[in-house]
Amino acid sequence: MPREPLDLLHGTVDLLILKALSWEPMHGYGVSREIRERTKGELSIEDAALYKALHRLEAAGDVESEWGASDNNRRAKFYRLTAEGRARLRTEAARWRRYGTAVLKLFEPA
Amino acid sequence: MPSPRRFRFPRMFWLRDRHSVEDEFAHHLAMREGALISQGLPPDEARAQARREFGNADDARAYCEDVDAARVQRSRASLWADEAGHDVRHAIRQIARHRGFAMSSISVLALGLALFISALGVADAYLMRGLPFPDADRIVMTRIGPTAEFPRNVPDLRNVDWRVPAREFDGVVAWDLDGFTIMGGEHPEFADGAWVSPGYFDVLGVRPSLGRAFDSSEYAGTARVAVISDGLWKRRFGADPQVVGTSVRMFSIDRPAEQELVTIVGVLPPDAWHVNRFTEVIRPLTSPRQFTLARMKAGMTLPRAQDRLNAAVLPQVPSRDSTWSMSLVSLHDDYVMQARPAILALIGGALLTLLIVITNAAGMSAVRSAKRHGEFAVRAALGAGRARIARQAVAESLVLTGFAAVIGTGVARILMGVAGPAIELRLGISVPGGGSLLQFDWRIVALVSLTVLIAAMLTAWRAIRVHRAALNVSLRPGQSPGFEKTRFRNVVMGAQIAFTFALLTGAALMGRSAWNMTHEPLGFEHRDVFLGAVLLPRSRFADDTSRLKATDEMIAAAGARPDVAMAASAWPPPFFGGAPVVVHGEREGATSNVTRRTWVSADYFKLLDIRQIDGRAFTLADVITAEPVAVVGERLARLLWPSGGAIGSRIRVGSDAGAPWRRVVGIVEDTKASAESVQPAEIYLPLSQNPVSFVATIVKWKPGVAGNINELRKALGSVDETLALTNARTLTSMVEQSTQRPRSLSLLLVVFSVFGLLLSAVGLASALAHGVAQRRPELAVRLALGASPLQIFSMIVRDASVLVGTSIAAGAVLSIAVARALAGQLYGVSAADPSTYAAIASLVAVVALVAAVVPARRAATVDPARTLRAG
Repeated sequence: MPREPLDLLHGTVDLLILKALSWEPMHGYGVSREIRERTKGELSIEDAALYKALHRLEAAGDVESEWGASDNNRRAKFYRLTAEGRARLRTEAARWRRYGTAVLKLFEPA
Repeated sequence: MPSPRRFRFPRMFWLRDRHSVEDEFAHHLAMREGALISQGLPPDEARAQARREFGNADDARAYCEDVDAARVQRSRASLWADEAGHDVRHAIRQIARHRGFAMSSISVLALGLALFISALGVADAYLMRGLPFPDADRIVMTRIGPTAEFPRNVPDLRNVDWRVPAREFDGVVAWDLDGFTIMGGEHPEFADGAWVSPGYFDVLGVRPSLGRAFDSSEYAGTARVAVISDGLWKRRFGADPQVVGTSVRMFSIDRPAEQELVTIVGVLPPDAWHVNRFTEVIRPLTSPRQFTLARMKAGMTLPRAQDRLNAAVLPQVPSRDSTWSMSLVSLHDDYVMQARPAILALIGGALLTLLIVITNAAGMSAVRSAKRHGEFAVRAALGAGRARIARQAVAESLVLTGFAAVIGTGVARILMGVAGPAIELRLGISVPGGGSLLQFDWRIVALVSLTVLIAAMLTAWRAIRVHRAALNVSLRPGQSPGFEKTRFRNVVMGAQIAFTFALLTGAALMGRSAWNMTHEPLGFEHRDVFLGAVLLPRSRFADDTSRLKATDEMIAAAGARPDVAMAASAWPPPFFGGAPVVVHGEREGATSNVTRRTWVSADYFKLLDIRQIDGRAFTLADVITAEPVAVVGERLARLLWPSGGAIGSRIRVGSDAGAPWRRVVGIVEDTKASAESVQPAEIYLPLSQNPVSFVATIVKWKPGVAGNINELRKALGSVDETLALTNARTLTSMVEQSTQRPRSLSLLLVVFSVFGLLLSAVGLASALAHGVAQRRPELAVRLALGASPLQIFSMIVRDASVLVGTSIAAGAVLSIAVARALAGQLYGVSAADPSTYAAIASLVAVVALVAAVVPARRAATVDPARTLRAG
C-alpha cells in the first residue's frame, strides 16, 4: 500500500458492509476484498472487526447468512442483505452524504 | 498483534456453535493466504501475514459466538412461545368439549388445594411470619430457670443488679404485670396493664398514635402518668381527641401505695400488638427490675447470649443451687410453642388430603386417557411428533390444575376470611402482628406453584404414556391396547387408599384424645358455676380485718341472691394457673417441691363438690388468732406421709423462714387444674386466716335458674363501690377452653378424612369399572366356557381385595408414622393403639368392597355372545 488506510469512524464499518453486500451476496473475505479494491486501497476494514460487524448485523436482522461453496470449492458462509438491511443502507448512506457535504463545505474557500 | 489471551467464561455455552465461526474464519484465512502466495510470498510467511492482518481472532470468535447464541436463543424462544400458545388454546378447547369430567376434576382439585392453601396460610401466619417488632428475630425472652418448666429452686434474685446483664444485649424490656381499677364514669372498670421500662417503646418499636411515650423524669417517678390502649380509649373515653392531658383515678393491685390520680399522656395505635394482653394501661416502671425481653446484639447467637447472661447473673447470686441457671428462648418460639403441634398436625392433615386428591385426579385422568385413544391415534396420524403430543398432554393438565389452583386460592381466601377469627380463638393465640391468616407472600406462592406443577405432571403422566402407545399401534376406535399396563393405575389407586388410611388414623387418634380429655374426671363439679375476680384496693382495705370483712360480705351478698345456691371465695380460682410453692412436712426430708396452693373460703369444697376424704374442711373457728391450719390433697398426703398420719401433723408452706407451721386438719380428693395428665400436689389454706387483695368470687346458680350477672355485680358493688367483678365467666367455659385445640383439630381431621374416604371410594369404583370394561373379551370367554356369574363376581372382588389389602398394609405403615408425629398431642391413647388401627382397616376394607360391588356386578352380567361377536 502506498499510504496508510484512513482511520474509520465507528459505525461506518456497518455502512461499508451493507453497501458491499448490496452489489451481490458474498462471504466475509469477499466483502473485505471488494471494499479494498473498489476504494483502491483507501479504505480497508480489519478482518476481526469485519466479522464482528457481520455477526452483529445478522443478529440485528439486517443481513442473513447461508452456508455454501465458494469459488475454490471451500465451505463458506455467504451473507445477503434483507429488506430491513436495504432500508437501513439507504438511510445510513443519505446521512453520510449529508455529513460529508457539510464537512466539505467547511473547507471550501469562503 | 493478537492481544494476550483473556479467560472469558463462554455465555450460553449450550447454544454456541464453535465450529461454525471457526470454519468461517478458517475460510477467510485460507483465501488470504492464497492471495498472498499468488503475490509471491512463501507459504509460511503468507500464513503468518494473513493471521497478523486478521487481528485478534480469539476475541472476535468469542464475540461472534456470543452474538450468534443470543440470536438463536431469541428465535427459539419466540417459536416456543408460539407453540405453547397453540397448546394452551387447544387444551382449553379439549376441556370445553369434555365439560363434565373437567368440572368434577377441577372442583375436586380446587377443594383439595383450598384446604392445603388454608393450612399453609395458618402455618405461615404463626410459624413463619416474624413478630411485628423491629429485628424481631433477635428478641428473646428470659426465663428464671434452665428450662421452660417452672424451676423448683429459684434463688433470691432481689439483690441482682440487672443493669449488668443488660449490657450484654442491645436493649432490654422489663415489665411488671398489674391490674388497674379505673374509677369514675358509669361504673368502675378493671383493666389489664403493666409497668414498663423504656425498652418497651424503644426495643419493641411501640409508638403512641396520640400524645407521647414516657420521658426520663417519669421513669424516675416524678409524675403519675399512663398510656392507654386504643380499645380502652374508645370504650371508656369515647375516642375523645382531647384525652391526652386528662386525669383519671385508678388503683393498682400490686402497688397499693400508688396515688390514685393519673394523667394520660398517650394512646396506643389500634394495630398495636403484643405477646401479652396487658396493654390496656401502660405505666412507667420506676424501680429497676429483672428484664423479661431482650434484643440480642447483632451477630450474637442464642446459646452465647445465654452464657453471657448467666456469666453476668450467677456471680451475683452466691447462695444459689448449683443446678440453677437462667435461660433464653426466642420470643417467637415461646409464643407459638403451644400452638405449634396443632398447626403442624393441621398441615399434615391438609397435605394428606391434597395427596389423596391429586392421586385421585391422576387415576381418573388415566382412566379417561385410555378412553380417548381414538383421538390420540388421529392426532398421531396427522403428524404430531412424540414430544409435541406429550407437550399437549402437559398443557391440558396444566390448564386444568391452573384453573383448580385459581379457584382453590379464591376459596381459601374466603375460607380464611370467614373462619379466621374462629381459628385464632381455637388455637388460643392471636396471629402475630394481627395480620390476616392468609397473606400471599413468596413462600406460599412458591409452594402452591410447585404443588400445581406436580399435580399437573402426575395427571399428565398416564396421558403421555398413552399418547406414545397410540403412535405405535393402529387400533379400532373404542378399544384399548391389550398390553396397556395397569400398573400406574394400581399404584395410584393404592396410594390413594394408603393416604386415606393414614388420614383416618390421624383423625381417629386425635378424636379419641379429644374425647378422653373432655370426659376426664376433674375432681370437681363445674356445672352452673360462675366466677369472676375482684380487686380489694389497698387504699380502702388496708389490713387483714377489713379485707376479711369485705370478702365475707361479698360471699354473703352473693349468697343472698335468689338465683344463687351457694357462694365462696378463692384464689387462685379453680382451673387457673398459679405459681407453685414448696411444702415442707415436719418430718425430715418430707418435701413437696411443686405444690399448688389455693386460698379458700369455708364453703369452697362444698360448692365445687370436692370430696372430703378425711378430717374436716375449714370452719368459722379458723380465725386469724387461732392456730394456722391447712387442708391437703390426697397426693400431697401420700407424698408427705406415706404411711398415714397426715391429720394432726404440721407443715410449712414456702421457703420463707418466717412462714408459720400449719396443722393439717383435712384431706380432700385431688382436682385437676389443667388438661395435663400429670398434676401437682395440692394444698388449701383458709382465706379467713390470710385474706388476700385479689380474690375470685365463685357462685353456684340454683339448678334450673338462669343467673343474672348484672345483679351479681350490683350485689358486690353494694358491699363497696370499688368492688368490680372482672374476667367473669362460667367455670365450664374455662374447662372447655383447655380442650379447645384438640377438639377443633380432631373435628377438622375428621372432615378431611371423610372427604378423602369418599373420594377414594369413587376413584376405586371408577378404576375397577374401567378394568372390567377392558377385560370384557376375557370375561366373555370365561362365561362362554361355563363360568357362573357368581364366579366372575367373586373373581373381580378378589382381585380388588388384593389391591385394597396391599394398600391397607402400606397405609398402616404410613399411619404409624403419622401417629408418631401426633404422639405429643395424644391424650389417653397411645400412638400404637391396635384397636384404632384395626377399626380403621375394617372401615377402609368395607368401603372399598362396597365400591367394588357395582363394577363386579357389571362384570358378572356381561353378555358373552354379544361381546364375542363384536370382538
